[in-house]
Amino acid sequence: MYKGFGSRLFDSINIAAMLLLVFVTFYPLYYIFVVSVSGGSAVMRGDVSFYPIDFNLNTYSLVFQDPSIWRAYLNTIVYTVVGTLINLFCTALCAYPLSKRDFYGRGFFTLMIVVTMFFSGGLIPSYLLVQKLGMMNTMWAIVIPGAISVWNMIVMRTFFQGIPNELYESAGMDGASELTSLIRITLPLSKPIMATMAMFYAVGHWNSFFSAMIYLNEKAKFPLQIILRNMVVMGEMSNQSQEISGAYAAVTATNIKYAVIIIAVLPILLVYPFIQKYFVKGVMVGSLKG
Amino acid sequence: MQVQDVPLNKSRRQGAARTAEMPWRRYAWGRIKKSKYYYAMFAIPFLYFVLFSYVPMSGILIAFKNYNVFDGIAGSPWVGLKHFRAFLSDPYFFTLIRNTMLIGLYQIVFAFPAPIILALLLNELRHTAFKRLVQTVSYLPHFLSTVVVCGIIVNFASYDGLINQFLGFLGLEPIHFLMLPEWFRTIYISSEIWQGIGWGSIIFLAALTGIDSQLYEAATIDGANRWRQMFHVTLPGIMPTIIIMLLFSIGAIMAVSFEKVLLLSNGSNFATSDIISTYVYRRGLVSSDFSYATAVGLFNSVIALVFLTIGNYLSRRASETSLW
Amino acid sequence: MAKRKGFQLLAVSALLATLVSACSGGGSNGAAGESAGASSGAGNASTKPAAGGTAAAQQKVTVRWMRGENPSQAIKTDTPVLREIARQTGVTINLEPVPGSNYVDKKRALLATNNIPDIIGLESKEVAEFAGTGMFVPISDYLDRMPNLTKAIEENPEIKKLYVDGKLYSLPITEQFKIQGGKTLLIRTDILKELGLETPKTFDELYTVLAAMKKAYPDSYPWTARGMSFMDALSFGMGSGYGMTYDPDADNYFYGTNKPEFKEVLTYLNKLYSEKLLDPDFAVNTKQNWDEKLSTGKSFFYYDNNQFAVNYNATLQETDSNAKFDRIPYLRNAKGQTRGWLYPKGWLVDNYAISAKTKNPEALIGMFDWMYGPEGTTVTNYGVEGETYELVDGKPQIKADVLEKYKTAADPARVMMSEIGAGLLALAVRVDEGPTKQVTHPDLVRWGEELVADPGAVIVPGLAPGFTSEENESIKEITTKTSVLEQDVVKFIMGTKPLSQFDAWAGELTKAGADNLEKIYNEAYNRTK
Repeated sequence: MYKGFGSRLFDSINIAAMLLLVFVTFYPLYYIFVVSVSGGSAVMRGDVSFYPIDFNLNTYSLVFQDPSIWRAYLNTIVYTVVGTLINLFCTALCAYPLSKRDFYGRGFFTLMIVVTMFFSGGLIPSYLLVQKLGMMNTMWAIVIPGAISVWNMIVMRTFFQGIPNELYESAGMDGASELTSLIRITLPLSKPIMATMAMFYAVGHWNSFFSAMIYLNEKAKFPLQIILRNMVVMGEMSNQSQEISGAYAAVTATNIKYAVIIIAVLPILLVYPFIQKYFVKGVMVGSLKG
Repeated sequence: MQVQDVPLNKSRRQGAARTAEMPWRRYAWGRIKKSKYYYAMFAIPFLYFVLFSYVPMSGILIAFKNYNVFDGIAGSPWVGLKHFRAFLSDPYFFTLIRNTMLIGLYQIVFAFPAPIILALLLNELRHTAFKRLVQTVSYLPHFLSTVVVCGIIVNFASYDGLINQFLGFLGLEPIHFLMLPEWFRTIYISSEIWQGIGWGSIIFLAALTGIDSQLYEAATIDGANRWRQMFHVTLPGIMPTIIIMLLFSIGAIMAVSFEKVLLLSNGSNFATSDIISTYVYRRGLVSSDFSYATAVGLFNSVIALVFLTIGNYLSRRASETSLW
Repeated sequence: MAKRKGFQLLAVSALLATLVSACSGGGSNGAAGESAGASSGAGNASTKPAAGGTAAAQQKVTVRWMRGENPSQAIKTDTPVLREIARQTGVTINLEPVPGSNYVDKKRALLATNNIPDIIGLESKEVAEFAGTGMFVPISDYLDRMPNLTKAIEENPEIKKLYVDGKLYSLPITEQFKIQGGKTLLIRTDILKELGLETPKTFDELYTVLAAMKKAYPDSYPWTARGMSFMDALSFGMGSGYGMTYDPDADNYFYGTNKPEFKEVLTYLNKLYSEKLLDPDFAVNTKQNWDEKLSTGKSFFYYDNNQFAVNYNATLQETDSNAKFDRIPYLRNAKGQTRGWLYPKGWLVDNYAISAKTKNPEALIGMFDWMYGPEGTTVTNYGVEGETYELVDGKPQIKADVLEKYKTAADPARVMMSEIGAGLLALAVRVDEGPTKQVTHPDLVRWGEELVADPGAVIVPGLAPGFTSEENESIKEITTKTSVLEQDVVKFIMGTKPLSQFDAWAGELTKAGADNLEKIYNEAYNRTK
């Protein structure tokens, strides 16, 4: 254990800094929650700051009144689970060979992939492609075109590269049994990064709305974010020409908006602790150092 | 976990070097044959990138055309570099480039290191429950949409907002943060840090798990104090991840959040808040501008790629870690 | 070992096969979906020879109809209105609502790839931009079969601005009855009374009143705004104009911002701003900030959409039953004019276009003309007779039991309209706000009537003139330059740019092509006269 004065001073400052960070990052979401369970006029007056005023859950019952919300929840869960599985499978399949120095053509392929981060043809050709593949108005249009995020793939590759070659050699496997070494050595050692990637991808799917909006036509297939975003964003970025006609003046009340945000964020927040245990475990290994 | 970065140059040369007498083709074929399982694995990702990235890339052509729906991408008339010339010869061009790149640059200088520092500090916390709490809470802002974040910023930074109330408490004059061009970048970058610090630290925390605990034990035996451990064990341990992340942020220098800038800009701070994407957006409001927007996008990509290539080259020379 | 290698290869290729089949599975699904859609269309077309029966049977079609969805009135895909339309016109509508927040992107993707559904909701400028591609059915070719639309065009000649190269390609949203709204002056009349102030009649008097309010309530910012949304109405009222403005006296367009009169507007606002009579945050307020200031007595006056005041009154009166925002008549300006800013007739920016690829355009033309006619207007605004509305003295009214059902909802009018599938935010092309009038706050109805009767009432045009694509290019080039300069308006108001520089600045606007802009607007406008 550290006993020096400097060390203790550092601990105190560190804890104070972390407490400050916790406050700064926690308060806004807490505020959103408090507003979402407060009365409309109290919110309008700006009275609500630390605790609910005129506590009620009307906003939530109002949002859930619309049966399409439940349907949208289910859709989002399906898209997230299926999408993330496809992501992890494809990303690992891409990252593993690229992490291997004896993979001939590795540099070329990596460059070829990195370039796609910068040059994309834009919406029009992508739309036409999805249409030609017959994926329009199906889940596949949402989960397949984004199967590999270059960013995530490179991060995974970097992590794989950190696994010492000796491990593969000592396991007595030669270059031929690559699938086995991926499954037996790389993946078990990569739990933290796989958990991270799973979370990045899942959160990405959970929050995404754009491709669903472009490629899906039926309301029954919409994910949650499309419906909720409409309530939150509309009116804030409103089109002036619509405002002129006076028809679009009514915007969603703030407490309903905030209820919507809570509804959208809560499930993914609840999942986090299960994923977090992988990091914490890892960090605990590190903290045995004392 | 015993994953530890091996000196890369050692394994880098591991693939049998081609000897002088070996013909190149036989050498290549030998290596290809050795890599056949890699190829089999790589087939799916390769097809994926060809199909979903390279096939639609034909869309870039419309930067050199006057796109019209009737003729499609292939049939629209060529106009060469017209759109690029129009953009580059705009007297306003340099202001836009400066505003965009300064935000990008500040992002790298200030917003990039923040999650690393947080990850290192978290690593030093000894109370596990507290560590979990900080970690969980700090990534909450990531889930708020830009519109909501901007609403919060306006509430805090407005003339009557919390920050000015605090300044008033200290006996200072209120500052019109949202209206002054010199404050725009500060507000933008601080909000980016606030929103991204927790989420960004996740990747470094994951990298931290890979550091061999024996290294710490050895360092302790050697009498290294916490600072030395942090700088000689922890930091080198996550350096490959840091470098890769740094390269990514260099590549993202032109990618400034359009929505956020649009929501935070107003006539008064326009001198610093007008960036390339808001400019293109305003033009598009008159009538859609597929070709022009694509040309500007392409211009951005080329600049970003140049920066990334330089960064990649330098980092390969200096640290043996690189994207490609 | 060799066996193992074989297994490895097999495994890898199996994985590959899984993915490919996953893709093609999706493919076949999509194809099935599409062919189902196609076959239903084809089936309907083929009913012609097969059924060979009545005219009604021949007319039966199923179409896709896409439009933006406003969150305040959710779009349901199975409503009394849709059933009634199918019954009366034979057109079965598969509604495809797209969230309004990103509808622009969706439209763009569909338009740019020539993939629009049978009917699509578009803004007038989008119709103008894409009309030349032949993507839409030219409505004007069918006008001889559309007596009701013809009548609507005669009623509101502004619709002629929608013509592109001599043809009409879209179906505008017109009005039969509207609760008139506008950007107008709303003031806390209780504060006026409390301080013994007269209702202001000129802009100078308004200044005096705001100053007296500030004096009595030093912490207040008597006038608040949300960004620049008040500028057009205020400038117009003061005898100037903010950007391109229609001048009803001269019957032409002018660019107000670089004219000397605009300097007076800026001088006035600068005075208000420097004395803190105008909210220092006026340019950055979000809607929420704005609401808060007006609902808490932080601000007493605004010059914007009158609809909002109803909510502020409700909130204010919870704590102070006397508190009330009320509309005051439009003010007289220095030239002696009174010029109000009433929202335009109809909702001409919002249009529907029919895809040129649709199987049976005649059926849709017939349906739309019916919707512009008396029967269709009643159905699309009130629903089904006996089910959702009844005739009282020959006029449709939503039934009492239906009203009762939605009484407890947060926003009764919108929820009711959502369930019925009626009104502007659903499918009506000739809007009757009668149902809204039945449930909305009486103040709104009264203000609507007062607005129309106001001596200064000017109904602003809803549409810019229809431009050719060359004109659009020029406008784009000019506004790219002027919009940068126009940003300085805020600085003039705040005083960070001194008003002494106005003339030089106005000169720059002129140099950037403001005069040319006027010319383009007026030439285009003269074509539609």
